[in-house]
Amino acid sequence: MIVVEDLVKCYGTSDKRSVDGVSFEIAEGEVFAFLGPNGAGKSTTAKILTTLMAPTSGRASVAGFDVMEESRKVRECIGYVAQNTGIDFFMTGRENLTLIAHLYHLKGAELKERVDTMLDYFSLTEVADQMCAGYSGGMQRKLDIATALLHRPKVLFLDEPTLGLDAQSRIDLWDYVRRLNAEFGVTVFLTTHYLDEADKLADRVGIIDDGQLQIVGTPSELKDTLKGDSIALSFDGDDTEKARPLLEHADFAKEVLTEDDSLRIYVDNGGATIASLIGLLSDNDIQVKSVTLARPTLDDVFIKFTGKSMDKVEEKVDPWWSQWSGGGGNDEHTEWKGNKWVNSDGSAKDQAAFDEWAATEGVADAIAEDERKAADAADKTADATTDDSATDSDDAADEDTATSEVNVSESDTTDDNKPAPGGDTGWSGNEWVNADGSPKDPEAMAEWLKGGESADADSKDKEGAR
Amino acid sequence: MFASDTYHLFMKYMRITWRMPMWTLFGLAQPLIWLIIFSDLFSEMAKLQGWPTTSYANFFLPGVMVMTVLFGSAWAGVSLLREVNFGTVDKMMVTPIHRGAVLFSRVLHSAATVIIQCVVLLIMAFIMDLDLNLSVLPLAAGLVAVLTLGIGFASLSNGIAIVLRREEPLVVVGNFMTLPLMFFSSAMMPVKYMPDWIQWCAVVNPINYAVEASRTMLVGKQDWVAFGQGYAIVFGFAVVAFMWANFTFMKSRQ
Repeated sequence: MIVVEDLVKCYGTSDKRSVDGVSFEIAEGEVFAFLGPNGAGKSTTAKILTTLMAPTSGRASVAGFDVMEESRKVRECIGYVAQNTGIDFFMTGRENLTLIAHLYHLKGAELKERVDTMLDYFSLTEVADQMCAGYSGGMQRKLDIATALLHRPKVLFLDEPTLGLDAQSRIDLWDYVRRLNAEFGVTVFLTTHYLDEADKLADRVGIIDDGQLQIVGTPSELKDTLKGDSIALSFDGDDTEKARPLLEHADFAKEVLTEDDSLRIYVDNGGATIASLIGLLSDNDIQVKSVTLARPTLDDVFIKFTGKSMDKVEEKVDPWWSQWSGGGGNDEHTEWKGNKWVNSDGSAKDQAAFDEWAATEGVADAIAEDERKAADAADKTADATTDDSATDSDDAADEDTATSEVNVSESDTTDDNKPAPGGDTGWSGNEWVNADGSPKDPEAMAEWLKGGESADADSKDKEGAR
Repeated sequence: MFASDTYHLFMKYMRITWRMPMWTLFGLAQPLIWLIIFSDLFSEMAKLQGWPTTSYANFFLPGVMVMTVLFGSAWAGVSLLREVNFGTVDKMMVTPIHRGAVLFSRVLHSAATVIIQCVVLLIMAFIMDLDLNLSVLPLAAGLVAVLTLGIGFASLSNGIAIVLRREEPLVVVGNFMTLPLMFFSSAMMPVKYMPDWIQWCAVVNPINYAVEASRTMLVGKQDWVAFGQGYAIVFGFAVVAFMWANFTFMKSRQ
């Protein structure tokens, strides 16, 4: 249904390849997910396939038509739902659908019937004659998808369809995608940076990073390339280097990967191994700052094939003002990193210059304020924090990480995970504690750690979702 | 099909415009306010030796119509940028429409809203009992000249929007262009009273030809030859402006 051969896309005159030699095929009736961080080239690929953009080189065909040579024929048999809802807020749902139906050259009774069918299918009939400005995010997204289905396309392109939706709307939307695929045999090309979305929806997943397709396979095939459960560990200071050789030689570790300043260890049975792992490390005087146990998820696959964690890949989008600022729009700033000031790229400051600057009027106060906030944030989260807890807490994203307790939980289930007894569990220096810092009930904890119960609950939940 | 695609998109924009009460209120009132203020402010000018009309308001009416075009279309590109950012443009572009209709329906809509404003102006002129030719053919010809200029100017604004990519600089450029373009035309004052260098600017200013063309139809003695010459230039300007805007628009989406 879709054939892509050695697709390359450079924007403008730059040599930077947003899509760099991507090739893949999608069969009829398949749900295919393109998984990658922002800026990996997912949306660009989708835009080329939907004829919104011309490739720099390479070939692509959709439903047997070349996207360059026969672009109008391609457009007749595809539906495209972009990241932004393209609906008009000052028109009603019905008017939006009718307009798009006209643009697909539908006419008369057939047009009216299709519009009504779509409103009904997406349960929008009641609000059909209200302005879309009043719709919820989920309703807008449903209407958006409805407009892409009016002409009964063979292929549906969904570019980050659940971005910005609440959990319930996401699950609803997944359900629609599955139904569309099952009932009408629509081939679905989906891009997402949510691993669980790719995991739950897709027949096959392609992982894309830096414009290159790293691997393609079914979710379980991809997970099988990993070796068992993964345990992520982070340490204070240079303990990471001390711990690595120790763990590599431990008989339970099948593979050890370094990821920034933390380690990921792949083991057969994570729950049973944690105790001996912690024991081994404390025998060697290594303080563990945090530990996270997870079943293999697509995140692990992602790390394996790209060498970085999905949520650590930063968004690198050319900001709109860069053309006016002479490229000065790269958020360069000074930040308080734990115990010293550093540049935003992590490099050390020129101390003399910094002191001089800090002594100028007003700056000293601001610095003191920032340090105080950082200290507060660090206090709040005690020892069980992730590595960059003490950065500027003004920044919402940073605050997020600062307050995120280390979870020993099934991290591949975001909506339906089973909490450990006593809420979130954190490894506080030398003992397991609840999220509020109180000690755990050791028996309940041991049982939970065995993983049996929670794994069962997890799989049941998953069945329920299906 | 180009015509039906343009029609459906055009109707969408008209519908949205009518649903903005602010537009209806201020959009219709603004040219009237100009007509009233300027006619009174410059009323003494009609006493100048050799002034072509009996009253300043009579002379100024075609000028205020063209002013409405300038101020009404200069920001047309702002909503294009908004539609690009909201994904509305992508949504149109993935349907099998004639892609030229995307931009053409927009500029047609900008020009049409100006025509609505002009009709209100003409009604006002009738009430003020200005000495105008209100027979069908000259009236239609005058409005067509204004409509064509509107299409050209809205195309220019849309094209510049694509080049600049942001609303703020577009507003700056719009401000920079509109007032000089208006003063370098005979909208407010006959060319013969202008200093030489402004007369030269007026020669290359398409706005000037639109004013002259509609004035010869609406005020005093009709001169169809002068209208034809003036209109040809305005039409050429509109065609070039639209072709350029559409080319820029298509190129930006590669």
